[in-house]
Amino acid sequence: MNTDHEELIQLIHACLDGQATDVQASLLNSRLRGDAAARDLYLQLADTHSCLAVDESLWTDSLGSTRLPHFEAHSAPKRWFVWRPLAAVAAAAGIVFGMFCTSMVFGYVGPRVVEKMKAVFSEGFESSVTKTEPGLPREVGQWGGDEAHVVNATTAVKAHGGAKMLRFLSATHPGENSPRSQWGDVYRIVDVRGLAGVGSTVARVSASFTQGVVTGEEKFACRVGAYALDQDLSTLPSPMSHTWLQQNNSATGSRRAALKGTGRWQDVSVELPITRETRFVVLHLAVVQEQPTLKSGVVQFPGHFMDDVKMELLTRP
Amino acid sequence: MDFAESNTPAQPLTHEQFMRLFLAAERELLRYVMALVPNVSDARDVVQETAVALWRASEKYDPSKPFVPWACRFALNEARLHLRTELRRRRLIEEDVAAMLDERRVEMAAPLDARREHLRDCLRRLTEDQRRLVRGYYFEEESIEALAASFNRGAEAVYKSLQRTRQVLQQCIERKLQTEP
Repeated sequence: MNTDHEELIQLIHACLDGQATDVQASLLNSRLRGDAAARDLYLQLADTHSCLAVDESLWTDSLGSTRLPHFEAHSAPKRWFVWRPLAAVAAAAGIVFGMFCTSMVFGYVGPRVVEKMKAVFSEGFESSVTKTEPGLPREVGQWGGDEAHVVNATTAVKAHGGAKMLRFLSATHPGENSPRSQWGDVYRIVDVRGLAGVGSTVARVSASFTQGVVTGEEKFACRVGAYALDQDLSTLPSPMSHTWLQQNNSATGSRRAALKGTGRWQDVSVELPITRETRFVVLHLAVVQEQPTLKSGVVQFPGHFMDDVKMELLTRP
Repeated sequence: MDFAESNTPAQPLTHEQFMRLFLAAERELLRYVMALVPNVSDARDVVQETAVALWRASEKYDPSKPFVPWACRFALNEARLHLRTELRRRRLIEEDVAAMLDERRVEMAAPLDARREHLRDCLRRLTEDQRRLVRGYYFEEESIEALAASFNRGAEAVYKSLQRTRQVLQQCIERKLQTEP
């Protein structure tokens, strides 16, 4: 195998792995544009890449025993039924598709359970907000919690959408005086009064997270949580606390996912049922240093970002 | 949509008929999309957008013709939309190159099928560690760092192992193709 061929293979793999630099990507595009043999090679490698990733039968016949127990404990819930982001066109049509991702069973729900979807909250951090207010918010329209700032995209970390994103800075906020904290939490209250439709309504909260370069041994995870509140905001305690939310919600849901540190954005979503009595939903978005466990001190996050926080209501008749 | 499709079926598909066709085609569509959008999560999103587009256009489908090629036109369109929005951030294949690859992929359908069959055999010939590595990286979507921790090795060493294993697979497939009657 000649060097040029080997270099082309490396270039293609870098692109397929999502690791290509701008220069590499440009080089590969030029090469593919002008070289038919390179296009054939790309298609061969890309086909192998896709088969290894999505063809379950490759791994479930005689190779089933090779699964790593380690991954079963930590892998993202991709083998689970998930509601996935929909195109605006689908949303406009009021049609929701669900997918069993890797089982290849497409769970089209059919007219029996066609849902109405209503977008009730969307935050891309592109305007107005610059940082979180210290502590949990007690009113709608405010990001509160631990210290986090809205930052511009950099060459190292691009925003998930638009030009800005929220950067988690610290696992505490001014005035908290916490002796030990590994969680960087931010919160937002969303008003859902009168929005639950006839039938069963589910609030789906989603956010995208990414982790920059982490030079140490630390392991991080992200979490999306939501708490449904039937109370009026005037009854909330001051200061608000996470413990109060845990003890006084009418419904709650959360999902936690390990941050892989690949530079890719990871989408995490959670659903919780709401009723006509539900007045507010408190969104809880967080990153946490999972390892090593701290005995004391407060984690300062080396490069953890969030973008595109959304909440939609899905109503099934 | 930037492609022409004007078939008029005798009868529109029912939901059930559409779902049967889609289920049968889904894996092929995912593989198709991943040639242009390598990240599996992104590719699944593109396929789901494709499903929505297909359903909305299902009245135009002619059941006397194969479903997959028809569906692939929609998938290509959705993949192009994805590439337009994600190109700068994700360093993906450029649109004109994607069109060239798509054209060639149709011509390579049979050889790619053969390669897939050989891939199955070649996977069996890997060592246990190599299979664990390939499965972890591709099928479990684990990062190199997570795999390195699992193997108790450095990330650089694990990535090199992955590259070597890919090369072994590629060479195995090539050997098998050459010995085919």
